[in-house]
This record gives sequence, structure tokens and C-alpha cells, in this order.
Amino acid sequence: MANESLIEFFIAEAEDHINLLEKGILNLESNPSDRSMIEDMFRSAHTLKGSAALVKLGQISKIAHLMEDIFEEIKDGKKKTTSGLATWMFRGLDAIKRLIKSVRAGKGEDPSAFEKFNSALNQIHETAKPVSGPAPLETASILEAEMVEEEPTVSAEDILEAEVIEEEPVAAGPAKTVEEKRGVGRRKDDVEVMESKFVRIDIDNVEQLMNLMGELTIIKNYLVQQVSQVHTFRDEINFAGRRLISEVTSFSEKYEYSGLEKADDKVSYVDPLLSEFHELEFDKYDELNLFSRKLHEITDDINEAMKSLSSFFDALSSKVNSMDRLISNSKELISEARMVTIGKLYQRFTRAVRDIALQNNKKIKFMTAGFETKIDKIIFERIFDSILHILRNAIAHGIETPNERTLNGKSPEGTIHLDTRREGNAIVIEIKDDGKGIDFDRIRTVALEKQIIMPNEDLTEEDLLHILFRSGFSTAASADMTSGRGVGLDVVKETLSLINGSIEIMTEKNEGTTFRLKVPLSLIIINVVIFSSGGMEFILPSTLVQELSQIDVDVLEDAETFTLREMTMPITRLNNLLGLRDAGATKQKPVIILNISGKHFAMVVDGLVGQEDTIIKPFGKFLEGIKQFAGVSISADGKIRPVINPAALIDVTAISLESGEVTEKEPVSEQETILVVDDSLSVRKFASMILEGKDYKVLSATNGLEALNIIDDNRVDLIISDLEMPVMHGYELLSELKRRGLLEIMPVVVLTSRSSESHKNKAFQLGASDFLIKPFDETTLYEAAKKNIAPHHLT
Amino acid sequence: MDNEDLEKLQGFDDLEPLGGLDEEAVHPEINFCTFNVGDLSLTMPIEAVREIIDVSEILPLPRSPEHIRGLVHIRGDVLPVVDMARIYKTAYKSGVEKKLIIADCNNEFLAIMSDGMPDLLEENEEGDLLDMVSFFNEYKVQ
Repeated sequence: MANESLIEFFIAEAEDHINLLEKGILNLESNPSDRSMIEDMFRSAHTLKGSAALVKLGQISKIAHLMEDIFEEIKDGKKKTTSGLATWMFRGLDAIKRLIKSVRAGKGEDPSAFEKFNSALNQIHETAKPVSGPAPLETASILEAEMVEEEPTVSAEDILEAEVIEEEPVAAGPAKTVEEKRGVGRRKDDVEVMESKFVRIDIDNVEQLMNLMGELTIIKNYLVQQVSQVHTFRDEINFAGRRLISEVTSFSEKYEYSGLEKADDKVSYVDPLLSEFHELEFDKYDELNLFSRKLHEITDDINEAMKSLSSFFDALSSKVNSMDRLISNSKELISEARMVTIGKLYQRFTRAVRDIALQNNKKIKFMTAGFETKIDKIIFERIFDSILHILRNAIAHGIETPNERTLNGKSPEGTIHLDTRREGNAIVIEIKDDGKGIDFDRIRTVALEKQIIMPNEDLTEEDLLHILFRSGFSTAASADMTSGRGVGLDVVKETLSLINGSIEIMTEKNEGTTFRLKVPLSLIIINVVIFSSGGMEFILPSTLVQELSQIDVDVLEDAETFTLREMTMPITRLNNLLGLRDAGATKQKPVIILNISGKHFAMVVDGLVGQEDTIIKPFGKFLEGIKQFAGVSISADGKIRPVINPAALIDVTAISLESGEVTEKEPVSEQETILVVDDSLSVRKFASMILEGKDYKVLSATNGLEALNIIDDNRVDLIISDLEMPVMHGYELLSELKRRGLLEIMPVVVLTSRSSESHKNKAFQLGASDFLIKPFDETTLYEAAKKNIAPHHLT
Repeated sequence: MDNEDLEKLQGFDDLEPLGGLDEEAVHPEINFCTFNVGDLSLTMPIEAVREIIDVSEILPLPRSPEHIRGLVHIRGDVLPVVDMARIYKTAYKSGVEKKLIIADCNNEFLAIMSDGMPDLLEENEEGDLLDMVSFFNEYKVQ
């Protein structure tokens, strides 16, 4: 049994055809000479036949085939529409409807449906002869017997009609009766079959929905980002809250304690007249105590509020998360609306393959698989020509002639597989032949002739395959049909890169060649990898990213190749490709492994940011000529992120490398920033003076909290901090930085007058990088700054 | 319906018209938008001006032609910012606030950088008149 959803689609399609046919037959019946609709009817029956065969509904297909033949005869004027014929046609339609209904109910086709119908036709052909025996009636009864279960009334009608058919051809009169009968009994059946679960929607509407979904996705991304910020806020509020509570607690403990002593006094002097002597004491006790109590109460309130705030944030983020899920579900559903099952589209190739094979005198067995894989109609239309092109190449150049094949011990008939499947966020289409494979010697010869490569160049097979995609490269020299592949593969590559797809070739001598096309699921919303380079953020569609890896900075230095699990590939540095300054990295840099038309490249970037679903906006006409980027996307917070087009970028560099045009800009050394945290103005001034004199940018803060605010808004490469400060002391600052995981990128040098080992130990324990003791001089401070500034800023 | 009617309808007739102008004053018709690039004065027909905005963050586009200053994000659209100084071989003035004129060239939009706020005029007095469609075609990235 063919795939369920495929059948659903068939049913939706069939209903349209049945409607059209019904209308047409009625028209023919009432006006036999009007042939205006016959052309459409013929086509409908033809399509119905084809689609039914596709979903393996053989009975429907056969009935439709028979009807198609009759329509053709009517069309060619070989047959006249009699009411008998019209009835027969309706019967055909009804049979199809019944079959559909039974298929939909999961019962499959009635295997004898066609036979019954066919015999009914024969009767019409034999109108002149007397009806031969009870056979038709019998078959009709069998048919009805099956229907009885569900529709006893209808079956009665059917039997009646079956009888009518026998008589009908004799006289034109009864036609009306049939009409009437159909009018009362039959329609019920019709209505039920026509209760469609499908609505036809203009693809533009779906497109618009999809665009809206895209915008929604961006807002959702923004919300998701906000929620994570809210978490940070919550942590900060909690942190501040805890501090407040501990301060207030210690404050109130102090005064409650001091009040306690006086409380004893108070007891003895309570009810009697308050003596003047104690009044002052009492007042003092009262106010302080009340204040401390109040503070404590307020703090408790705050604590409570913080708890509810916290649970509110939790609830909010869980809601945002479920919205996230809902949006991606809707997105999938809407994209699905534009999706067609590839099986429907295979037909277009089947015919073409047959024709091309005939032209080339090849024997081809064309095998298709993955019928049920869904593909975006628009993407399919864009790549249709490319696939056809590859098929044509496979037949013309890949598959040998039957003779050659027999000589090579292969079956004279070549096989081409066309297989489609979904892999994560992409659709993979594979075209595989069992021909002679790609002739590498031939590529080398042509590449040499065209001066694409030098005679002494040592090229791997991968390199040679890559040459196939260069524009203007074609090994199919003039009439030499047996030459290798390569006709217009550059166009194929271009088409694929436009829709963020990729192509790969695998070939084996005498075994055959496989082309693997990878295209995104949807053109509008695609999954991208976000990364930074040269201080900018860029994105790449995930379909182009083979793998993510990393490389040690000292290895990278002047490396030309990158090796990943026995695979060696050229290294490209995005900063160089784009002429950006190297923003420097710690010890390792991320490497994005790209697959550009079958050849692997390792692209080194400065940092990986993440992955998300986003809309890619192509450039307008003004920037159309910019090839290194395929457009832009807008991040959740409104940042523009260009989309790298590696195919163009790496070609660009290949060309400019040859002409020696690579202009690497001198890395601009950026001023490093040091934050001085000290409550003493003179220390801040003195330290600033020294450090600014050494070309550092200096920011200052009077306590830990101020420092935290500053690092939120500024890039800081090193913090020099005192230990004792009001509001938030040095230890607290250190532990907060540690909690936020910032010590790696902004090391802290403690600068204090506390020289004891215990302080020193505690500071180091909390993650301080260095410990300087006041008073300090210029050299010690500068040395310490130089030594401790995060190593990645030393480039 | 002109402004006056509108104001009356909305019950604003006793309010002083915007800008304190006399109600009888004839509002000058605006036909041109003249802006400065360094010492240069350029004019665009007002039909080509969609809006004039402050310069927000401009993202430079690596390896693009010099006259493409970068990209700017305006309410969901990303527009190219055109560096007129590069095209007219001059330099923007330092210390003058920059504005972006969003120009409509047959439904393709460009952000054109200007020194200071452009003047909206009835008559074009000093600036070289630009035909935005041919400007667009001449300077688009090939």
C-alpha cells in the first residue's frame, strides 16, 4: 500500500478531476455536439490515470484509462455521445468515487471494480446485439454486495441502475429516468466523497503567511533573548537583595541587642510615670529599635516580593519557551502547506529520461525512491533544471553504450537512481548512475589546456572535481560525446548557491558517479550558524556547514591546511578574506568546515555565537553586485548580520591570490582598557596617570558595585581593585566576577594595604591574578598590568 | 480637504496653527530637497525623498565598493548607505551632524548621507539636481 499522505494528496486532486468530468459529462449529455469541454475532460482523465497509478491505485487508474480512451474518440469525432454512453461515464465516475471512498476508509481497492466497469462498456459497444446473459447484473450485484454494509439504500439504487443500463442503449427515453434517479439517490454518495479535507490556497497567501511567520520568528528570538537577560537581572536583584538583607540583619541585631539591655530598664520604669531621666534613653531605644524592626519588616517584604518576582520570571520564561515551540510548530505546518511530495514531481523526470536515453541510444533503467519526501515547491522549481541537467549528463556521458557495458561485464542496461530524503534541516537529492565514472585524466588534460592548472601542480581528485564547477570549464569538447562531465556545472553550482544549497560529487571508475544536492527545507526561514569575525557578526546557512571544529592559535599561525580525522583541507581565514582586522583569540579559534561543491574548506573565524532560525533578506538591486554576501539577516536585537556566500568568497580569493591582490589590512591594535577600583581618589588618579602614560585606556570606579556597572557597558581587559571599599568590597567583587565567569577575560589584580598572607591567600582563592601591596610605584603597577592582561589581547 | 477644514472639523480651530503661522499664510510648496556634502550642494526632487532620519549605527560591508558606506537597519528594512563624498570626490565635514535621506528610486531605497539637516525648498537655488533613477543605475554595485 502506498504512503498514506500521498493518497491524501491523490484524493484531493482526484476530487477536482471528478468534478470537472461530471460537469463535462452533463454538458455532453445535454448537448452532444458541444465539444468545448472535451479537451479538458480528456486531460483530467489522463491525469487521474497517471496519479492513480503513482499511488498504486490500479483499479482507478484502469477505469480512468478507459474513460480517457473514450474521451479521445469523442474528441476525434469517432464516437458520439449517447445518453447510454453518458450513463456509462457516470457509472465510471461513480465507480472511481466508490473506490476512493473505500481507499479512504482504509479498505483498499475492490480488485474487480475495473472488470465490472469494463464489461458494462462492452455492453454499450454491443448495443445492437441482445444483452448476453445475466453477467452484468451479477457483477453489479457483487459490487453492491460489498457496499451493502454501509449504504443499503444506495446499493438498491445501483442495482436499479445496473438494470437500466441494459435497457438504456435501446431507447433514448429512459435516460431521463436515470437522470432523475441520480438526482435523488446518487447524490448522497457524491456528497460524502466530496467532503474534502482539503482547501486550495493560492501559493501567494502561503508565502505571505510564511513571511509573517518569519517576522514572528524574529520577535520570538528577541523575546527569548530578553528572557535570558531577565534571568541575569533576577540574579542581580537577588544578589543585591541578599546583601540588603544581610546588612539590615546585622544592623538590627546590633540595635536590638543594645535595645535589649535597655528593655530591662524599661520594664522597671514602664507603667509608673516615665521619669525624665529615662525619657531620653527610652526615646533613643524606641526610635532605633522601631527603625531596625521596620527595616527588618521591609526586608522581609522585599524578600517575599523577590520570591514572587523570581517565580514570575520562571513562569514567564516557561511561557516564552512554549511560545517558542508553538511558533516552530506553526512554522513547520505552514511550510508544509507549500510542500509537495517529490513523488508527484518525479513524473516530470521519467519522461525526460526516456527521451534523452532514446536520443543517446542508451538503455536506462530509471529508479526513483523517496516519493513521500516533501519539498518546497518553489525550491523544486528552482532546482528542476539543475537536476535535469545532471540526469542528462549521466545518460549522455556517464552511462556507457550497451555494447561498452557488455564488454565491461555490466548489464547492457544502465541504471540511474534518483533518491530524495530529508536530513535534518535539509533535503538531500541524490542522482546516482552505474556508468563509467568521471575521467580524471580528461579533466586534468582540459584544465591544463585551459591553463587552469600548471603542469607541475599536484592535484587530488577532490581538487579536480572542484575544477568541474568553474565557469567556462567543460570537458565535453565539441562533438566528443564520450568525454567527461562538466557541461554547465558552474550554472548548477550558481543556482544552488542562490538558494543556499550545495552540491557534491562522488565518483568511482567503472562503478559510477553520484551527485548529491543539498537544499534547505524552506527558502524563507532557514537555520543558520552565527559567528563573529573581525568584530562583526556573520551568518552561514547550516546547510553549507559540514562540521564545526577548532584550531590552536599557534598552529594556525602560518598553517595552510587543516586536518580533521584524516581529511586535509585548505585553510581560509575569514578575516583575511574580508580584509578585517584580527580580533585575536585566546588559545583556540573556531573552524567552520565548509563543503563548497564537493571540496572541503576550513574557514577560521574569531568566535562562534550560536545557531538560530532566521529570515535571510536578499540585497536590493543597488547591492546586487555584491557577491561575497548572499544578503543579510537581522538579529533579535536589531543587529544586521551579513550572510557569507562562501562559494563566491572563496572563488574571489582564488582569483585575487593569483593576481596577488590580497590586501591584508594591518591589524589595528586596539587600546586595552583597565578598570581601577578604589575608594581613594588619589589612588585612582595616580594609577590612571601611570597607566594612561603607558597607552592604556583607564576607567575607574569607587567600589565593587560601580565596577560591575562599568563592565556591563564597557569592554574591560583588566581590573585593578582595592579590597576594602564601601558598598561592595574587593572580595565580593571578585566572587561576583567569578560567578559570572568573567575572570578569564578580565583578570583582577588586587591592590591593597593589607599585606598579610591570609588576605593574599583569600584573594588568590577567589581568583585574583595578582596581589600588589600599597604603596606602589609606577614600575610594579605597569609590570603587573602588562603581565596580567588577558593573553588574547596580546595578539 | 485642506488643513484649515481639518482643523475645524476636529475642533482645533481655536488653537494656533502649528508653528504659530497666521492662518491666512500660504504654506510654501515644497518641491526640492537640498543637502550638503562637504562644500557641495546637491538637490533631489522631493518626490524621491521618503524621509530624513538621524544616523543610527551603520554596519560597514567588508570588501564592498568605496561609495557603499555600509548598511543601516530602519524598521525591519536594511538599506545601503551611500557615501556621496566618495562619489563627488570631496569629504564630509567633521563636527557636523549627519543625516540620512531615505531616497526612493523606483521602489528601491537608498540612504544618502548628508552634512546637517537638508533644506526643503520651493525652488531649487543652488544644488545640482540629481535624477535619482539614473543615479541609482550609475552607482549600483555591478
